[in-house]
Amino acid sequence: MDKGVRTAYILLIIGLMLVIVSAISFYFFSSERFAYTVVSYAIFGGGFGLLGDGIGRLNAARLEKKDPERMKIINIEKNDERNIAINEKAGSKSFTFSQYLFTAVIVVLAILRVELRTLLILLSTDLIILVYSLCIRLKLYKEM
Amino acid sequence: MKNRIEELRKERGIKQEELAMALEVSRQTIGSLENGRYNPSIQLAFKISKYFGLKIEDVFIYEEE
Repeated sequence: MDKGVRTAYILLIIGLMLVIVSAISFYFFSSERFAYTVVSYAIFGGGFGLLGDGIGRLNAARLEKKDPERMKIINIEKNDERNIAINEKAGSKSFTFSQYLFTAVIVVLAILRVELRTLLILLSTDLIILVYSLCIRLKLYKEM
Repeated sequence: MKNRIEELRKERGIKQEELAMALEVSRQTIGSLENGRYNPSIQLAFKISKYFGLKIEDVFIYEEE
């Protein structure tokens, strides 16, 4: 079996299992604690995401067999250097914008006297993103 | 950076789509290159020059800003 098709089937199976697990946990445990409901929804979301990815990959593999010429065009569009450059630039600009947005949200929430725990969660999320960005930067400094 | 891609392509009677397929880039990239809106990577620049059978400096004209 082709490596891509195998990955697609693995994703499909894991996704399906997660959806089933989330349905079972929602049915049996959601009434016990609100946190269980949230976890069930999160698993459900993740499961459906993997299912979608698997279906997409299977479709791509099928298309590659059925219509290789069209698949070649799709791959060209995907790997086109201008498209990649545009995506990277858009990602970089949206990252900068998200930092401004994060700061604004934290300030607004602080003014609204929101619970300290909520603020700390937001702050630590932003900090993790910044540390991750720094790690990527250091890695790229070494590689390039 | 200016280039002679459009001129060379038209001389040879090649469509943008055909050039794009040969270079494995999108048609929009060829359009942007011809209009001077996008500067190619060094790899693509070599690929383009090779495709036309010319030296890189015969296709791309470097201009100091």
